[in-house]
Amino acid sequence: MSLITEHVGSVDTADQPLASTKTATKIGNPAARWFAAWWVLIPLAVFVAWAFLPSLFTGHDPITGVPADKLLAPSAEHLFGTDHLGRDIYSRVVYGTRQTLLTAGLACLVGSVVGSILGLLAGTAGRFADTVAMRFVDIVLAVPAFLIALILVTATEPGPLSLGLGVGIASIAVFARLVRTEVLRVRSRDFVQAALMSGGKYFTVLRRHIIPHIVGPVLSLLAVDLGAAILAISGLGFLGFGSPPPTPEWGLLISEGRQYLSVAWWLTTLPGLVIVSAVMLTAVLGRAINKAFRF
Amino acid sequence: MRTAHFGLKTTAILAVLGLSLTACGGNANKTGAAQAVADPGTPVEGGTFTFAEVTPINNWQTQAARFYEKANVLNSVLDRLTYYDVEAGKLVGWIASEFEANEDQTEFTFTIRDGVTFSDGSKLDAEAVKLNLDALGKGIKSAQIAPNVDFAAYKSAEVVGGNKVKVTLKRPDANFLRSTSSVTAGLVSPKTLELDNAAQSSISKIVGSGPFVFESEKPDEEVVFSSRDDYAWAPETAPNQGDAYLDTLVIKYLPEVASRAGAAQSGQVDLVRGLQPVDEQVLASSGGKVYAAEGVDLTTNHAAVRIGSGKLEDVKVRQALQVAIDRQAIKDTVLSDSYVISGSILNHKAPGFVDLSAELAYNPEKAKQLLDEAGWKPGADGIREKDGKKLEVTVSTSNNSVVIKPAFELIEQQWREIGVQLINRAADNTFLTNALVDDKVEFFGTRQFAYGGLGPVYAPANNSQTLRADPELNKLFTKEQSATTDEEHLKLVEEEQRALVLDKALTLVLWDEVQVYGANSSANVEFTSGTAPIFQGAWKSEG
Amino acid sequence: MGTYIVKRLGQALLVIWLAYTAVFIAVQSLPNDPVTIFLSTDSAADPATIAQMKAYYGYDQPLFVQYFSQLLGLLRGDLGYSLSNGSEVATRIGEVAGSTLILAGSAFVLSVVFALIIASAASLARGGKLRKALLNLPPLMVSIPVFWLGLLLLQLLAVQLGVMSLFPDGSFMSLAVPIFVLAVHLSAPIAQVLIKSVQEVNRQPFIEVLRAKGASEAWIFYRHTLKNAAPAALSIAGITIGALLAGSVITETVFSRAGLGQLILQSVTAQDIPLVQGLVLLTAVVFTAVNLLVDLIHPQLDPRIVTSTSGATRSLVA
Repeated sequence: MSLITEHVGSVDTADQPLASTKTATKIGNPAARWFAAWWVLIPLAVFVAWAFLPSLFTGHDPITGVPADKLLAPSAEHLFGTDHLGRDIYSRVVYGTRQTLLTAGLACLVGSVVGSILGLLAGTAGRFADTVAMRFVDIVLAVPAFLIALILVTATEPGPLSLGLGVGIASIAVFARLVRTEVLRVRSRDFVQAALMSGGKYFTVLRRHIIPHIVGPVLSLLAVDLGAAILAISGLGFLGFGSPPPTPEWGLLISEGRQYLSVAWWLTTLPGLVIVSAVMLTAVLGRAINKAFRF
Repeated sequence: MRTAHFGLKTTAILAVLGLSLTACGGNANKTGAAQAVADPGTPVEGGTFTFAEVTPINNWQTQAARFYEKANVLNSVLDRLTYYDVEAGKLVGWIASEFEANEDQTEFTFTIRDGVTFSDGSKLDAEAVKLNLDALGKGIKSAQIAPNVDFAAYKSAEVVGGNKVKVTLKRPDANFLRSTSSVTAGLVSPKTLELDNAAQSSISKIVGSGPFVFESEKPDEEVVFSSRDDYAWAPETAPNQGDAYLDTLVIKYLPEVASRAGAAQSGQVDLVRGLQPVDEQVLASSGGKVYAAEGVDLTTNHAAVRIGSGKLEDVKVRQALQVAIDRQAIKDTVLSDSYVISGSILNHKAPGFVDLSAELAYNPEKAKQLLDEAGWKPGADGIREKDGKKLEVTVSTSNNSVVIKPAFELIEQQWREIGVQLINRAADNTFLTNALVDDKVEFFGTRQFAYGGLGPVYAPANNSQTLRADPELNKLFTKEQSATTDEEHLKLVEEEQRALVLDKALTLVLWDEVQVYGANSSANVEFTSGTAPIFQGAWKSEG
Repeated sequence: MGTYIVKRLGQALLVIWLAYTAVFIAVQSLPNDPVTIFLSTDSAADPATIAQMKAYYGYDQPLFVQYFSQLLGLLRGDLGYSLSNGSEVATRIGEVAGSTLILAGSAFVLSVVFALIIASAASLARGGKLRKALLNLPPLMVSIPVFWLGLLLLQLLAVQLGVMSLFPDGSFMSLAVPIFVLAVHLSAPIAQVLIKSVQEVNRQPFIEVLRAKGASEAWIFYRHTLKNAAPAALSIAGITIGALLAGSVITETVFSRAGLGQLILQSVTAQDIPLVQGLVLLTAVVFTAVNLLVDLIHPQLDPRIVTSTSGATRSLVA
């Protein structure tokens, strides 16, 4: 599941090159130009703020409900309504951000670090390393990603660590392939060839000439991968492989609410919209990064 | 979906008889405000009845039918020696027209009804019963089938006088007779017993003598049964003594809780198990029916206590948790009027039930005091600690009950107030797979079939509840099982409940077992004491 | 070409074998052995029966013996027995594979159709607004959780409006809606890749030449652009296999459909290890076979790729 999202975000969808130059020329003001490219950071910053300072955004207790207020429809008092125990759903979404971002963040970290190292090795350390690394990637891809996550969560216990790791392993392949491709592209350039020929040290060439050029694509993929990980984790939560309650987590909120879908649409619909917008935003961010690093 | 029965709206000759018996025999499952009043119409012959279970079944081995999804279906495929009649509060004849026990409760004689056949044409005679009892009591080695726990005392059976079977037990067991009424003691054709494990687990290969016969299946999607026209051996007190009114029975699966009320209301199914409390009103007010089938054959819903982690080793801690549950709040918040708060580990209607509700009343102050006495003192974060260990306990349950997870969510809140942290792994089947056999998981939320005393549930050293045997309790179980009079037996069953719930607090009781079914307005069905729908007596109103 | 095929085939077999081995090792980390779990389900099993069962299924053997005997069985086409109901793993898989094949296969076809529509509409659309909206469609589609869309549609169509069966009863809606839900998610990356390669092809000089000659935009698009962009979209087919399977698990759960996804879920939940391994083998074979096929077809469509053998599909992942 994550693979697919990564794919979408990492490809530049902007009307290139025509439209981008058009927007750039139309807006002369630097602030406006910055905004046109990076507005996406503002809503994302709100999510980050939810994760770090949830109490600033809501006065309701996310884990202890008022039974008398159960299953209330959205109102000014309860923006997203309340659940079967009378807990405020909006506050559960806000407090759930931390758990969600933590897990998804770990998944990205695992995927990007391991994947990038594999990709670098494959692209720079000779034919043998290339073959080994890429066959490894094939193996990871051959076993369905969610099956890896399922086995890992079953073997340990569901929590940010096991979920993050399980989902992260699945995205190793995409990072490895991306980095390898970028490395091969950079390597074929004259200045890198020259640096290698002139007897430059492996790590020096790597640091000076190769890594700077793959940072952009990797960062861009990272943003998209975050969205993919959020989706994958919420999917696992839906299948019953999420953290135990009362932990609020976005995916779990949807799967807990689905039981009451016929009487309380808001329990599933509203947290779902939050997920959709968050994942969309990461895709937009990925695009913005990709554009910024274009050379 | 309901087209099949239109052409078959004929009234049976038996209808009048069926009506009168329905009216007086009735069914115990008529409590609760959301309960639809059963329409005392005349049973209509014919039609296809669709029943939606909550989860697909991939192992139908009859002795493993301790899960509702299996028992609910097998109940209409397999007959048993005896039947437990809730109204009468006693065991009545079924395949055994008569049955008796010696005074020591070590020898039992069943007189087998004449003329009963399995659906493959072979006779259900004394010899077939003996073979079945052997399989239940000793297991089937060649097919890797373990003995039935309710038959732990079984020694041997022999055919006497042509149509009688005499069972001899290793030790007295006053509950033996009643356990022959369980679906897990369903009688199958001797040919079925010879099959290998895979075949005995497959519904297409299981041959019984019941009112419905396997017709076809789509794995994980549906099973179709057809009525057996020559069926004429219903339990002695059954309203319908002949074959089923229905022609066809279709079993489907509806795992999505939110869809169940709609499925019944729209007629996509005639009956669905696992209607959740919030949908009861919705269904009842939109013209559907809500049936609350009481589990008289089962213990109450409870959290069985495992002391392997050491945190609950002190009985005071367990007793504290017992009174730290606000059962009324659970009922008001996540249950409905179809549910009755537990008064003991046994159902209010079970023989020998003793009402302990006064001792079980919510009392957080007493709970705190008991925890203090046990040496668990509140830590910095409010959670109690002792010797550097936090009072953090875990509960595991299956995901088939619609109310168990919300209930434990509420208990988690209630226990937080007395400084106990509950890790709620309810409804997590993956976790349950391991937790079932892990005594470090403190609670197992469940209900169990209990046919009389609680020995079979709690006595074995690896019993699924506490995962260990308690010598004192086992002494009590043995005594109860050897009781020679009903009066003495019931008294000892009472003692067992006191010991389990109060003195040892090895089970935290919650609410009486009830299975709430949603039904279409045209469906008419009653339920067994084990909450299984009786499809043999079910029928669909015209229109 | 011949040696190339043999080499790729060898690599594919190696990947399958390693994937199988990796999962064999991984499942050993599961906390309990399957036989104990199988027997302890809700009733007390006595230790002698457990021991007997273990011996029967070979779980009393040392790990490497188990591994090699399983591998040997595999070579004979024997996948072993499912522990949750005693039937053969191959039978269990065979029973439901067809259902998933229909769901996943149709969803794949539909997603390609969606992708083509989006890509051609976006390429041919006049006016920046519409074009921009169309270009933003794939990121939106992929951001929608499959189960969320499925649940909402099921509730709306089957429960509220009553125009769809809650069960897979073979009716049009009961098949079309799950396929649609799966295809929405799946079509996004295909559309994306198609749009990107269409843009790339559009920058090629020969398109300009065609334009200069006065060919119509639509004619250029269908006759030349799409034809040249297709290989790129094809190569993503291999990647979608994994996504299809993951999507199937969720779609099958939401719509109560039998299928491989459900079977995977059941087998992991019940820790039915032989079944898990059988399913992994199946997915590994399918995944590898599809990718192999794509790699082999690719050069036929685009002769430029023949030389850069192993990088062909991979480079497009970026």
